[in-house]
Amino acid sequence: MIQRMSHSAIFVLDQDVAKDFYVNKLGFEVKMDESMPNGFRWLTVNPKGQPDHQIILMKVAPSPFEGSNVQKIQPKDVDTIRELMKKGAFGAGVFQTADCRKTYEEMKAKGVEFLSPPKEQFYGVEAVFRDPFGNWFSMTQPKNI
Amino acid sequence: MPAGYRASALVHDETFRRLCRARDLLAAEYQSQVQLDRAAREACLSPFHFHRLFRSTFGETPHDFLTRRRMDRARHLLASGQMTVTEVCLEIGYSSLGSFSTKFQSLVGVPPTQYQRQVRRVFGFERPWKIMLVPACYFSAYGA
Repeated sequence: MIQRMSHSAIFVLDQDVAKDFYVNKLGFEVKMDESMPNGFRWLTVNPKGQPDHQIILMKVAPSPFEGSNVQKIQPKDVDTIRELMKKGAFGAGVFQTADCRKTYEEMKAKGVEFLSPPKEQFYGVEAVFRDPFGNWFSMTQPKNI
Repeated sequence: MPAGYRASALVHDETFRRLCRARDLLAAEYQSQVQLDRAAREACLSPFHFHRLFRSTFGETPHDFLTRRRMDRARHLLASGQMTVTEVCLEIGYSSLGSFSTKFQSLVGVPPTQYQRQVRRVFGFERPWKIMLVPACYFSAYGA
């Protein structure tokens, strides 16, 4: 049986912009940032409290898998993804904090765009923010703090 | 990757910040004989509480964190082929080659000399050894 998840991906449009956002605005740490000779850049980060899960900041680019029933991603598909991302089509996950209101103020001061300010929910306090590309996240302070 | 990591309840926000500061200090000074007491002071905690909270928050002890960082760096340096095993040992802050080798083997599975040989055998001196850092499916998806 699968026991753990070691990597997951957030798709981004520009890896330099993404690195600045996730490290300098969200406070994550860089786990790996290695560029390969074919131009592929392996950039992973993690929240400081979760050192064993790498978030791949994966650039949306034409190419990936091509097989019998999988079609190659074309440049026009990248444009479609970019547009959908901007429209908020991709909710990319839930982050946890021990103090949602305080973290909200700090992130706002750094220029992070919030779609929803901290609100009381039955499971805790939750705010919603987005990254520079449109990926949106819940930031939740669970009730058991 | 920290062994035995288990998600636990979040610590208080201010405590988390102080623990992060101490962890950053350890990370920045991983080459020197780091004083764990100093890191505990940075976190404004007694050494005992620092150890306990660090472990429950990050899933590994401060000492394990340091060792992991050193060995990650050692693997990188050994794979890049620019340094001998002795040079790598000194670079990451070990003064004894024996202790370095033993610790490396216990975490990586093979002694540093063998690790370096394996990387060279697979990738050669010139070829991009960095691809060993990336899951092959991601790499090959990009036309490698």
